[in-house]
Amino acid sequence: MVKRKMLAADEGLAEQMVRVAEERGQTLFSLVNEVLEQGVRAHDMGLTLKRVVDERGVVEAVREAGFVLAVKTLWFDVVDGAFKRGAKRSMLKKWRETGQWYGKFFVAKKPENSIEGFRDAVCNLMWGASEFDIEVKNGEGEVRCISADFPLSYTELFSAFLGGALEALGYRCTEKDVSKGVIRIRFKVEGEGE
Amino acid sequence: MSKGVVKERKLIAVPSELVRELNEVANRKGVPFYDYTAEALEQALRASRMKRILREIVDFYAVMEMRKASGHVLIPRDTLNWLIKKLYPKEGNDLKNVWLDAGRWFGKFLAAKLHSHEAVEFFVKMLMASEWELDEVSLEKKENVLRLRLVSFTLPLENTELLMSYVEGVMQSLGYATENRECMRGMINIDFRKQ
Repeated sequence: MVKRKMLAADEGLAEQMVRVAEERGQTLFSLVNEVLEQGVRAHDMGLTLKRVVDERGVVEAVREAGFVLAVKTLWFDVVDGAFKRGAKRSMLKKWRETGQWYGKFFVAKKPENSIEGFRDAVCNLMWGASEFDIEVKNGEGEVRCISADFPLSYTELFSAFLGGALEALGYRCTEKDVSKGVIRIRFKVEGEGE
Repeated sequence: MSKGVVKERKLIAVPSELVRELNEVANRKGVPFYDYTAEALEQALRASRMKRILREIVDFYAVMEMRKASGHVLIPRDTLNWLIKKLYPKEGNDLKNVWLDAGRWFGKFLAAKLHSHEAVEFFVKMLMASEWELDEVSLEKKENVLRLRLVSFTLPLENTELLMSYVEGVMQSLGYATENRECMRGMINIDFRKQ
């Protein structure tokens, strides 16, 4: 028989835990035990449970937006190979269309602050990038992306993706500077300053 | 409790050994024991609202950390599938080799990070949480043979074949040779023998 101690918990929390235990066909004792064990496990990993659950929420959102994980070197090799073997034009078109799709996705999902939503999502996606940011002020803005390991082909494709997304978010590119691993795009609200 | 507001409390039974461990963790963090356990229960409820259980979320975090550390990137699925479809008819064998090499590299990475038996289990968990849209992943062990079965209701044939190459690459680096294999659209059955 496991020795037990009594743990004080907020009544509302305790009632919700009872409900979850019932839904899962577990006893409250085993459910709370499991939860607290995971708390200790997260601590041993140098984390808090809040961070772990937050991260899961981010991954769910990224998946919902249709992103998948791939081995970086494999992805860059395949993209670079196809790009150099003559598929450049169709690939740039495809990346631009994909960017447009994501721009529209964020316009529909977060109409009041779609560009911020897009920026936050891309920041979450850009594990490997040392810098990614989008700044917008008074209808003008700039995208900066620096990722030392992007080959030139992928940098060009990613800039096409960003260009497509900005267009769908209602902006027009006014200046674009792309070199290996570095993208800088300046943009304006569509229809302004013409 | 903040601002002197006293909430009603209930008592929940917990194993005393766990209470001791939690006390230590809360002390190390400099957080009151009550607040620390309340936070854990709140996160469990958040997980439940996401239709997940906390253990699975912590497992998943560990898998994602390993994948970040091993150089994985997030890419649009649609673009990946488009590129595979475009290249596969002419360059299918080259692509299989690229996937096989990537699998071998990842297998070596896992072998360096984990013990051999843990590495296989971890890899199976990873497959479940991966980009391959798998609906079923099962691993059976019979003496020296591991039977891996992967099922996806949506994976096209090209991607299924590439996945098989990747899996074989990983398992080779973990010390397993392919004994039998069967691949059709969205379904892979492979027997591996420990070398």
